[in-house]
Amino acid sequence: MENNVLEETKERKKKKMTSLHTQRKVFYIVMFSIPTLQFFIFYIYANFNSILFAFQKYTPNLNDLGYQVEFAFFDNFETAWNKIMSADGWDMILNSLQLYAWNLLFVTPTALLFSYYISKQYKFSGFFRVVLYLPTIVSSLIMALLYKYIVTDVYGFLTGDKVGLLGGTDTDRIYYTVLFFNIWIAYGSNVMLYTGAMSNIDTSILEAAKLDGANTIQEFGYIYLPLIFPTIITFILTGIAGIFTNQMAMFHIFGSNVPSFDVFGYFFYRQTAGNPTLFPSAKKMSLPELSALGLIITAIIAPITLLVRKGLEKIGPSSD
Amino acid sequence: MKKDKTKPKKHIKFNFVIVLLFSILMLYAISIIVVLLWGFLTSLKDPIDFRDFGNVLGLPDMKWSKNEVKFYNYVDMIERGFQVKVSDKSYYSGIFGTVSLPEKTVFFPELLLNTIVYAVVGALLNAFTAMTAGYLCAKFKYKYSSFVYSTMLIVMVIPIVGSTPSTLKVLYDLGLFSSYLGMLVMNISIGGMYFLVFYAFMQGLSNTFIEAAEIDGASQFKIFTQIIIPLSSKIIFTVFLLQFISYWNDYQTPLVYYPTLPTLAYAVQQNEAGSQGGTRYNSVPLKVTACFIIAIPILIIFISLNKVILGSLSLGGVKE
Repeated sequence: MENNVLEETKERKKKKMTSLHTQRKVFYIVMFSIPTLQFFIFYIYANFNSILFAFQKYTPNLNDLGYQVEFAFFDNFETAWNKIMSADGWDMILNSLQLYAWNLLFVTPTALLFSYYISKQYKFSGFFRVVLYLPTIVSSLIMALLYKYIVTDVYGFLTGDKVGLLGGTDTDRIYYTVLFFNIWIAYGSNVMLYTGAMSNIDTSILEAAKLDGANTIQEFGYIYLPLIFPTIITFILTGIAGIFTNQMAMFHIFGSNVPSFDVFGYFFYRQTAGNPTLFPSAKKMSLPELSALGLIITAIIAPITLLVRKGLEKIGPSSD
Repeated sequence: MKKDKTKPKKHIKFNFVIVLLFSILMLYAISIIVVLLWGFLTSLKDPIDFRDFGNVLGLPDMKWSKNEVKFYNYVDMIERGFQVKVSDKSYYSGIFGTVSLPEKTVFFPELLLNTIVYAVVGALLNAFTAMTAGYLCAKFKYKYSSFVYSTMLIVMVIPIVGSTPSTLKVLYDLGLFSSYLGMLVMNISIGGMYFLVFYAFMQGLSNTFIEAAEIDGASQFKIFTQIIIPLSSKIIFTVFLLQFISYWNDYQTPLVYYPTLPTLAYAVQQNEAGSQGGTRYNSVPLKVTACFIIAIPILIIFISLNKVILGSLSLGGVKE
């Protein structure tokens, strides 16, 4: 009798568990189905399609608006490779690398120092935190336009040079004016994430260091830097991954009126925004050719990103 | 006993590094504020005052302001200045070889509507999807959960440069190109970083609530809507705000994927690019006014909610 009751309870419990299990599964499948579908279409399929695209050639029909598609072998890759290897292709690469170098060697160290200042809550740190983040909030387009008017109209008013710092034929002057803007507005997200990471540092470590008589530089170099190194790695890596998609805010500043220098991110965006074309022409790269160009760049930059990540994880300071 | 309210005085000594950092930060903060202030003052000037009388740096001279209204530029810009000429023809014929739609001009109310659909609904969907995926992956230990988690990590590390052309084609093939539905579907994405933020937060949530509710016979849907969503409301709000701000400011995605549904930021960029006639609206004061019309709502949100925006997100979840 007692055994029967026990069996029954067990059975009921088992049933309840099974029904709970099914319920959980149904809920899981229902809730995940739409995001999964979206991911498969817009990430997996779009990227897979981008590979297919790179091997296709589209030719317009003569008598109607339709087109013919054929397998293009490596024609698109050849066009894209020639673009990279051309003189302006190299210029674009060098410009992008130069911007990254400034970010890595100038913005990152100064942003770290700023974040240290803010997270130690020295004078006005709350104010600095808000002001540093303003350019990110107000949108880089608006900051870029205000900057453009200042280096054109205000500069022209003050110096009498009506062309301004972004006009004229001096490529170097235009380039450094644009570069300066990029450095100027780069601090917001950097400082936000670094201060976030710094606020997670255990205060007992800082107190121990203080008792040992560590000065500001020692505290920054031996405690803060090693402890937030994973965040720094993330920034370095996203920077590398974005080298060739970074537009240097040039579309904000120049729109489609390309100045005498170019970068890949800006070039790429210009080609896809506005009036993209499926058909190859001498004036504009076609979408299949752009896909091939994107694939070549991804094939170069993805392994570099992964290698740098491995390297940094090996040589990085240990947080012990 | 009377409590001694004075905190123990810190031993303040002159620290060269800190003073130097303070000075640099102050200079930087001033540079940002001066640019914004110059912009605001310029937005109050009449183009005649600015251009013909060379009042580039001074205070606005009210005798030039029409109808004695101080914010006339703002009224004028909202009533007439904000306009985008949309030509469906150029977007379709080159890429997909299909019919052209009639040209039309989009004014402020429609621009605002598009911006709201894109920024409010888009950001809501985005935050909600990332939260749902974070919850499902953290609390449902199925194999698929770890697959999604590792896929998201890979997606964040591998830079894919050339998927825009292919995404355009996918959107077009699905009939979603330049439509509200397309705008929303693109945002039901699990996302990279915010998914990780939610995942970390959900992992930190104790299972006790969920288990207790399950024992009481609550359905999974009820647990999700009545326990999980309220518990994560703060972080959902923060992610929503950050996404809202970035969508509000983004003109590049609409320009490529939704060219017939221009947003306010899109209009600012187009006005700058000079695609719109009329010298008054192409003058610096009016262009700056356009910038401020889209910046002011964001500035108000940021100033009133800066603690939420700057303080509560980290990859380790929410900080109290």
